[in-house]
Amino acid sequence: MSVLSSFLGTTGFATMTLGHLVMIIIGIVFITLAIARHYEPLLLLPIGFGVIVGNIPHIESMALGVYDVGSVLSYIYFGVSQGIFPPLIFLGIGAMTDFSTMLSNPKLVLLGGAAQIGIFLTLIGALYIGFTPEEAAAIGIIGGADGPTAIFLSSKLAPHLLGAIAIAAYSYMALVPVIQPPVMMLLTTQKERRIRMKEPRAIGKRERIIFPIAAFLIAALIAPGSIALLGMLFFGNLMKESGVTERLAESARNALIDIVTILLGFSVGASTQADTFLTPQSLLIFGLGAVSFAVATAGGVLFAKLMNLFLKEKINPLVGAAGVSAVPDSARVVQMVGQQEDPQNYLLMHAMAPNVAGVIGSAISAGILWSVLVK
Amino acid sequence: MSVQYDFQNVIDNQGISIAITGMLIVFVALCLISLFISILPRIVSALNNRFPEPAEAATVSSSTDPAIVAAIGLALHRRSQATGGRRT
Repeated sequence: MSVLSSFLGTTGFATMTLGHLVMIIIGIVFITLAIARHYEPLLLLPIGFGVIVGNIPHIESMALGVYDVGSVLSYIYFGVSQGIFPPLIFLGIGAMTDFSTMLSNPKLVLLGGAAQIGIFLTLIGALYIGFTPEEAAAIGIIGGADGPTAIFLSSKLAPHLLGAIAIAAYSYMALVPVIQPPVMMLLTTQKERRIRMKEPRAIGKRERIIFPIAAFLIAALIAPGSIALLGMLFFGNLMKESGVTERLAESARNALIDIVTILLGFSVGASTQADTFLTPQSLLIFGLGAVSFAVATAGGVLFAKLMNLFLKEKINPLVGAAGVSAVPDSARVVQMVGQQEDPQNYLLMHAMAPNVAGVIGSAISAGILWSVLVK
Repeated sequence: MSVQYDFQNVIDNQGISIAITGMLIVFVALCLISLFISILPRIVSALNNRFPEPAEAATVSSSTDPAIVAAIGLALHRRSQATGGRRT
C-alpha cells in the first residue's frame, strides 16, 4: 500500500500546479491555432506540443525536463542552448532563397536596413524598463522578425529568456498580417500605395554565384558575430546557385530544415516551464516584441518615403514594410495591401528584395549586438 | 529584474550609443552590399568577355508578364496557407 501511495505522490496529478495547467492550456491553444487557423503550423504545432511536454510535472530526482542534466530533452535542447539549430535553419533558408529580385534592384537592400531600427529602439525601451543590456539586446532582436536569429542571440546573451523570446518572436511572425497593415496604411497615402514599380531585370547565373560569396565577405568582415548565421545562409545559397551541388541544396532546403525545425520547435516549447515562463518579465517581453515589430515596419515604410524624395523612379513605400525579415509573410502582406488599392499592381516580387535583405540585416544586427555585449 | 522606468539605465548602459552605432554599422554593411550589387553586372560583363559563359547557363529571365507574377504569387500564397509556408 505504501508503494502505491508513494507512486501516487509522483504522478503529474499530485504535483500539478495552476501554472502547469495554464501552460498546458497555452500549448493546446497553439496546437489549435496551428491546425484550425493555419497560423505558422510548422512551428506552432511542435512548439505547442513541446509546451505540453515541458509542463508535465515530475519529481526532481527524475531527469526528464530540458533543464535536467542527462535527460533526453536536455540533449535535444542542447542544439538550441548552444545556438546550433539557428545556423542550420539558415543553411536551409539559403538553399531555398532566390536573391534575383534583390540583385535586380540594389537600392531596395537599404529598406532591409531601415527596418532594423525596430531592434535598436526596442533595445533602448527594454533598458528603460530595467532589463540588463544583454537581456535588452535579446529582446530587441524580436524586431528583426527572424525566429532563428532571435533564438541564436538569446542563447548567447540571455539564455534564461530564450523560451519567452522564441515564443514571442514566432507568435508575432504569425501575426504579421495583423500587425503590419495598420502601420502601413497609417504611414502612406492612397497615391503612394498605388505606385507601380519597374519590372525586375534578368539576372545572369554568374551574378547569382558571385553574390553569396561577396556579400558574405562584406557582412562577415564588418560584423564577424554574424559569421555563423550568414555563413550558413550564403553557403546554402551558393549550393543552390552553383548548379553543381543540387543534391546537397535539395537536402538542405527540405530534409535538413524540416528535421531541425521539428527539434527546435519542440525543445523551445518544452523549455517554457511554468515557473520560469509565467512571470511579469515574459509579459514585458511580449509587449516589447509587439512594439518592436510595429516600429520595424514603420522604419521600413518611412525610409522608402525618404528615398522617394531623391529617386526619379519612385518606390512604392509599402515595399519598405517587407524590410522586417519574416520571409515571405511580410512580402505577401505588401502584395495584399497594395492590391487593395490597385488590383493590377504586383508588388510581391519587389517586396521580396527588402525581405531577404532584412534577413541579412537582422543577422548583421545580431552579430553587432553579440560583439558589443559579449562578456 | 524589477520594472523601474528609469532613463538613467539607458544612459548608464550606453543604450543610445549601442543603438546609433548598431544602426550605422548595419547601414554601412548593407550599403556596401548594395554598391557591390550595382557594380556586379560590370564585373560579370568583364568576366564574360574574358571567359565566355556557356550558352545554356547565360541568364534566367525574371517574369515580365504581371499576370504570371500574380499567378506565382497566388500559388505561393495558397501553398503557404495549406502548409504553413517558409518562415524565418
